[in-house]
Amino acid sequence: MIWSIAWKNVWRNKKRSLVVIVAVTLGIIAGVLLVGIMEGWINQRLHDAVYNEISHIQIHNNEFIKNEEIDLTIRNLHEITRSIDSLKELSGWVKRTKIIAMANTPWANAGVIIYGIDAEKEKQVTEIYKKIVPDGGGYLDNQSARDILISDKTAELLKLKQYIVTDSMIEGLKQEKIPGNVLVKLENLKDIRFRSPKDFKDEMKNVFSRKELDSYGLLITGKALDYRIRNKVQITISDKEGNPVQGIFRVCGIYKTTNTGFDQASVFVNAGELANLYGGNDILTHEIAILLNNIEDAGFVKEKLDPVDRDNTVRTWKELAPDAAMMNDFMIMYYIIFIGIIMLALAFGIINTMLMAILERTKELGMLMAIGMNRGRIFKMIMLETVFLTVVGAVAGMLSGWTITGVLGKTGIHFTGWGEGFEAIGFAARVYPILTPEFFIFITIMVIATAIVSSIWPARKALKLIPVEALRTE
Amino acid sequence: MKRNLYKGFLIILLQGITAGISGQSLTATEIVKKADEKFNGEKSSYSLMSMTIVRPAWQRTIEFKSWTLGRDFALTLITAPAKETGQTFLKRSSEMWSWNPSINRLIKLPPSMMSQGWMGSDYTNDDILKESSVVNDYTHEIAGEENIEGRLCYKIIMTAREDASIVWGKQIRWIDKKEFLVLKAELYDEDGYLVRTEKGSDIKIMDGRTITSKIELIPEEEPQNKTFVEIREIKFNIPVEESYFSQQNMKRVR
Repeated sequence: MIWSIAWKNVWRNKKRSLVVIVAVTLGIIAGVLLVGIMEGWINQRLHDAVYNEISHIQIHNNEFIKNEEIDLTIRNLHEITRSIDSLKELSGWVKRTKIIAMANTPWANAGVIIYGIDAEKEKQVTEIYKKIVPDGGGYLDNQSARDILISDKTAELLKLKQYIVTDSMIEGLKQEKIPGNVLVKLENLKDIRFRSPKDFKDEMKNVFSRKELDSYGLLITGKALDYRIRNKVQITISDKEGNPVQGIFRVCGIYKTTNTGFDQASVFVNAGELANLYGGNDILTHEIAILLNNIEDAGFVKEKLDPVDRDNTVRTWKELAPDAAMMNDFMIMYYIIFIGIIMLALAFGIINTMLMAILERTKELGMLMAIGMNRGRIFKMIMLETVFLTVVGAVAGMLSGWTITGVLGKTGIHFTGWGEGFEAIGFAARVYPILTPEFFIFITIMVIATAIVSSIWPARKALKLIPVEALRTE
Repeated sequence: MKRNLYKGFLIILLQGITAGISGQSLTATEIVKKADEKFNGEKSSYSLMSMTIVRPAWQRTIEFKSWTLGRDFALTLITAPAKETGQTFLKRSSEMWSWNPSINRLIKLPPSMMSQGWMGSDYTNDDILKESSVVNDYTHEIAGEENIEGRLCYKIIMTAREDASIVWGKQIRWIDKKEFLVLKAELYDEDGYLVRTEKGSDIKIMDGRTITSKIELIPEEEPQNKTFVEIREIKFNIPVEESYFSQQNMKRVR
């Protein structure tokens, strides 16, 4: 009885109720989208951090962590190898040589960390081999001697990237339905080599009009980009005695992950080739990276491996990428704050609307009281009205929010303008929002709590009415 | 009969060619070697040099004294400007140290510093260490003769050996025919683009030897940047011991 009265009361003033419902709907959509984007980002960052950079667990020599010296290799390698192989949670693991090095080309130089890897085994642990850029050569393989895999960022620093307009490129652009006059203008730039994207852009500004640049600039720049694959890179490292040794490697491929910081530092060569450079018969192992089947097992596996040898340090992804771990663990706090603020704002709107409704219906409420409706029922009625108002908006908001994130989750949101900034801190420029069922349960609880809290004031106001006085109001 | 005649002709022709080569006397490699030894071939040396670094916004001159013994040992003392006076650099085979009196620190230059410019110039520490050899790390070929500032030069194309630890793809050197001085060198990357030009000029007789006393270095990508080195004084075969090139002496030398 009270339920249906409350429901009917909601719709007595359709316009006013709809304003509140729409406000709640929009608020919920905003909250859902925001959380979806954040969640998408964090998931991507965590995935990329684990599968490109750090894996689930890494082992180093205790001293190596403080000071990355060439002779600080992992101790008791055999024992550790045996205990890793016996792990049932294991998905894959690799040994790596890791040395700080200087990379030189005739044009430039850059400090890098050179990883000596087993190219085939590495594929079981990291996904770098999937991150080779278009026209960027290929991944290392075990046969190719003296090859080096560098990132797009390192290629830029070493000036192994150039922009050049060629006949075949213009031919290719014809297929892309670019107007003839643009192509004719492009002929002016033909066969000139530009060493940086900035030089090329500046020159394009001279040749093309602003409008042409806006429509075709990106496409042309993309097509003109040419990596100097097979070029020499000179690597200088310190050997075990601390003497500088140099070797020439040839670029076999260019990769690009979502983390520019990682990209800039990391270059990869075959472990054997690196060993030829620092001398000695053995391949040094500075780092072991372990990938598990389930990320949740990392802490447990660490405890298993920890006692094997005290000279080495076992660290989980949470210690290796504290930023990702922190976000992963504390995100729920962010959500509570975000949604909390939205709900607080909505609560004031709801309270305002309900107070107005009470004011408008003073006489009616007085009448109800006078004919014997008890206070509990009045309270319940007002509260139910508020809950209905909020829940209708919330359901509409969640449904549309879910649809929107669903669609965006497929297409992704591309933050073109800020891509570079995001990637500098390891976040992808394209985000695929996702929503978990837990989040919907969470938001439902928040909505109901908001509705109940914001109903208290209007309901109390109604209770305080004195029937005789209320009846006399006009 | 005809066949024999042909054979005889061939022999004469071949003899003519070999005679021609020995008459011309030098192969490309020998020319490069001779030119290289002009500076590095002596047992020991002492020199007083100045280096001017030109940048679009500023320019500065550094003066230094340098002692060398063979290819392996070198000690350099900065004498001007006042701010950097007393800094020394020691090279022993492939290692390099630097002593800075103002902070009282001796550091061994790590590989990461090898490719940085020496004292802010276009020369890298690596150029100074001269790990690579123009003789052994390249294949040489005479590409004709050209005039450089009025002097007839061999034009020699030096292609980097595949296994050599050299970033360059090739060099072209113009070496004076009479004195075997490198008057110009162009360094190319592997794609055949010019990266850097070095020019030697102001030929003088110093301590009984004819040398280019001015060397100019121009990086192609930043033509406003230049480095000049001028040899003010040079003495060859001075009496100097290996013990002179020590870390203790880095702090003492004046």
